[in-house]
Amino acid sequence: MKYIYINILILFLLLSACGKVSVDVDESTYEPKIVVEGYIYPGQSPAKIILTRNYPLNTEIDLGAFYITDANVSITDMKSDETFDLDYDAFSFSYKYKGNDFVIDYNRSYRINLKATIDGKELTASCVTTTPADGFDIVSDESLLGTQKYTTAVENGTKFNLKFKRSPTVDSYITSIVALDASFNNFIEDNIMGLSRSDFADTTDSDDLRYFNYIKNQSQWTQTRLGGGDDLSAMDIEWYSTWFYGTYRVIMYCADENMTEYYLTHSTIQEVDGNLLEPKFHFEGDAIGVFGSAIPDTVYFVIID
Amino acid sequence: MRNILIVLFLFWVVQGLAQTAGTVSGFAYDDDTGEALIGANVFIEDSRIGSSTNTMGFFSIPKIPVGQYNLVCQYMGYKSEQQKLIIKPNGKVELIFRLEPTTIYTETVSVVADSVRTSVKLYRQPISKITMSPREIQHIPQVVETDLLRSLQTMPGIASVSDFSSELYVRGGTPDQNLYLIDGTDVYNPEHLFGLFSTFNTDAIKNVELSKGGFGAEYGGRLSSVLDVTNLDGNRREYTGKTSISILSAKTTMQVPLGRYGALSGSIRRTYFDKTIAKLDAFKDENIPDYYFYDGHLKAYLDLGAHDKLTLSTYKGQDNMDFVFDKDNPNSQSMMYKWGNTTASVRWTHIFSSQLFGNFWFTSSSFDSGFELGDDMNETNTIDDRTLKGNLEYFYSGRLSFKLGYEYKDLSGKFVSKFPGNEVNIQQKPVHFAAYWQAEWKPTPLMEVQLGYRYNSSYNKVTRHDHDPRASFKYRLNETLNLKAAAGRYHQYLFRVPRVFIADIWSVSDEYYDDAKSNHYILGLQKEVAGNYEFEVESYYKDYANLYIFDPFFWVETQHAQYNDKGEPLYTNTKDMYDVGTGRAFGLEMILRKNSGPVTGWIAYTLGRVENTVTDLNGGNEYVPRHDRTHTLNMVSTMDVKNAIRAFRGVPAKDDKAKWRLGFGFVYATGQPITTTSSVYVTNQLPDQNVYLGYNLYPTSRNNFRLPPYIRLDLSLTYSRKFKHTTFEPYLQVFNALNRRNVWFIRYEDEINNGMIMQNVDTQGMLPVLPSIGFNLLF
Repeated sequence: MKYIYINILILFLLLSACGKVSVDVDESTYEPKIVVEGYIYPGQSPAKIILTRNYPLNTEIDLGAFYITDANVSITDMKSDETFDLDYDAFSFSYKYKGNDFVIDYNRSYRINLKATIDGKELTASCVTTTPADGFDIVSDESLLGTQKYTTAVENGTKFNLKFKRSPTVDSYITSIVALDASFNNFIEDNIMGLSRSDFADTTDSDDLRYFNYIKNQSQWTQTRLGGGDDLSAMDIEWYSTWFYGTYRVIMYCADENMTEYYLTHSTIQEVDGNLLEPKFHFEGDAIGVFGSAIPDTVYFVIID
Repeated sequence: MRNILIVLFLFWVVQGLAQTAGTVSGFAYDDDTGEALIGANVFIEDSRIGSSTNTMGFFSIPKIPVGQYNLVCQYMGYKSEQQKLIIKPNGKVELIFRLEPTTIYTETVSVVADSVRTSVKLYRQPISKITMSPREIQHIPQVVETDLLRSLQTMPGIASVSDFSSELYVRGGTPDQNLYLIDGTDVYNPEHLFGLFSTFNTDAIKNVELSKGGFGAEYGGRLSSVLDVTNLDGNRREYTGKTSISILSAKTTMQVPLGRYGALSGSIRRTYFDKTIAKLDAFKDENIPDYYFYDGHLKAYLDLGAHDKLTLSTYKGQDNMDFVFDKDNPNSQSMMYKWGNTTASVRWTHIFSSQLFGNFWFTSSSFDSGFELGDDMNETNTIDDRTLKGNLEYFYSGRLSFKLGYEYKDLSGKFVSKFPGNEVNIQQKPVHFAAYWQAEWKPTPLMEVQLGYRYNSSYNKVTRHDHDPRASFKYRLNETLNLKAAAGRYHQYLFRVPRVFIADIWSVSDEYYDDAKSNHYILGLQKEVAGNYEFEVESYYKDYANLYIFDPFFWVETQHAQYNDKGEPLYTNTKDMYDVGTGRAFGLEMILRKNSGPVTGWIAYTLGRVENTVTDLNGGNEYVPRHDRTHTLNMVSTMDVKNAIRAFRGVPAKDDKAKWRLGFGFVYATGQPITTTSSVYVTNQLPDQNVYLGYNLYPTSRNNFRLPPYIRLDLSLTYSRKFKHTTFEPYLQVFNALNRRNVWFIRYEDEINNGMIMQNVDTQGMLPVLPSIGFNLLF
């Protein structure tokens, strides 16, 4: 008789192992963090330092009400050791310096100091960025910009191209490539990667909308030798970075270490086999995200059918 | 007790009368095929004086007192053979045993028990060594078709990370810590189809030995294990072959006698996804990559005389993938990826005397992969290995033997990659030399001690010297119980950059990275249970120093010293590529195994733990790697249905012409550790791109979450029908018969509605239920 019970038990165990397996992710490891999205630029006063917060999984995030508006934010010029308080600007949902006596300089270190309360817990954090030294500049006359016909250029192997002078202290250049005229109708159907406009046809679907925004807002990263000489560096705009006909705005950022490592690691932490890597943030204390510095330069080009 | 006294007396006689003693040496072969029998027991009847055959089937028993004896040769599944032995003073006798396979053994999975005690067979095996016969491998249910590495994953102490990988994680070690040898030649990336299948064609295999740790001084260069695969030498009696067709591939193996000169064996296998699935109506609208792999081997075994044998062996395996993103667009990007191994070896075996046996190899092994994406992105990844090695075995007496050997490796590794924005050109040409000695001493018939030492020297811009002492001990506690122990130090000078769905890259210790080191400590008990059941328990402890973990973000932080003509960073060395740390692995393994009768198989259980502490990972705190498994239970069984019913009824087994064979495999393993997210947050990737592209994940501490347990049941049913000269075997296999969607990893998805982000956690499953059919034709 006992064998019958054993067999029933084994059968039960086997059947219970069938089908899809659910996973309950333990949320006990959640800790509140100040989420920082802030960049400073030489020649400008600090502005658009966005502070938000993180959330445990399975929390509804209201994109209209997740900004931290009552934080203490200041930036310290580490050379002069002067500290400047930033104020919240409700119009831009961010912190900015409202005086006119603090302008960011080239090749200088600045520390952001943060204090905020989230979920009743007082959080503090800081991060230092060193701005790039002067010298970066896109040389439009040497670059291949203007207007190109898509199919002809692809067939000929021609690419838009940026030639630029380099900063003597920074080797990292991030290029934002935004299709200003992006729409369903001017999608390049004959693209080299075989993407179809049907992938983002439903503008009411959040996945389609995100996909549309993704292919509209592309970026490329390159590293090159430090500047100082008269020679120029070059970067091609790859055809897999352009998916629409029309005008493109290209902003090349001569980016410091903080901005570079945030850009390269914050969204690529899930490996192919699913595990998560640690992103490279540079905050001390209870903050994540980026406080970086860059020298931006902007150009435009046009793709026609 | 009486037997023990007789044995002790005989040993006293052996030592005392050494000057008036003689030596018998020779070979043991399969009488049907002429294949050398590895590990056959050769002994003087009614005594404990004896020896085992080595990998060439050679044995030597020196210092036998003058007299007349019966010399017996026994091997599992073969009829024992006796030969009269007359030893004259200083006489040297050469004998050849040709053992006849028992009929029931060759035709079915049923194996008749031979007359060697189970406990004796266990005692003869080195500690932590797994042997698996080709027949056992053939009958373990698998993914579509038989696979050597997946079969080994059913053994205690060996873990896998997912259904998509046939890689072996041995006792907490990573796959790069395993030395893979095929006919004595190193194989560097033994995987097809991104790891789904191994490169070893199971139809061509003659012998498989896996040392899970504590291995002797003859092996080195890896920290965890040695998988030594010997392909078939070839049938020396008649032309034989086997053809198999599954939904994945077709393969054939042939063995051709070369008269008195030896034999030839060869095999070839090719997959045909590209010819079948891609052409089906159901997939005609899918953009399926053109993909296939093939592999094959050719081996010649040549008798150059009574004292000289020559073995020539070559292997080639190649995977090819070609993918055009938009087949209708002439300007579409395309991707091409090819990778494969090529090996060749020449082995000369020479018997210098009845007591001195030598093997000398020249081997060549190459792995290369090439990747191209459009005109601007390409990668070449190669490793070439040319090795000269040799060993001498000297049988001083029945109680003492020595092994001496050397190995010289001339390696060349190249990784060249060009992608927009950077260029990699790392070329290394290291040289490795090793020399070793090993002594095997039997102070009493019940005890065996093996001591060894391996010296390693490696040069790659800097020269390093490593010293590896090794020791093992075996003791027969009683007629059914053996005690075994081993300890040793191991060094490794090759490291791997693991990549998912693309071939791994090997690098070599250099001016930036020292050799990795591990110490092994193993203690085990073996028990013969109920006559023909083997029960083994082993505990192990390993520590690691200079454990290297690839840093996937190393390129983000590296300060570049060189730039190419375009001003892009040029990587020419391995600096910053790895994070360095220490680790340890410990555990307890148990296996109950039955090798004879109509029902064979094993139940294996492993309790294990792996812990690493690596600078720059997990804040420098200790963590468990992804392959850590606390509990693993494997059950594997094969049943000859008709004879099992006969055994149930008490009727003797028969050699049926038509047979049904049932295969069963079950595995339970603790869920794998994985890093999950502790929270989510929303940011833009660049200051001017103010758009929502999804939330970002902020991870918890490394691998702090356990996925649900891994459970899988595999079944197979084979019908075997023997005709006059052929056997026809159709089969059905069901992988993951429970259709349990074991979790590979966690996917995080979000959805935005009315300005609110809704979050979903979903799982990425491994393989679902996967039935397959095929057939074998033996002729």
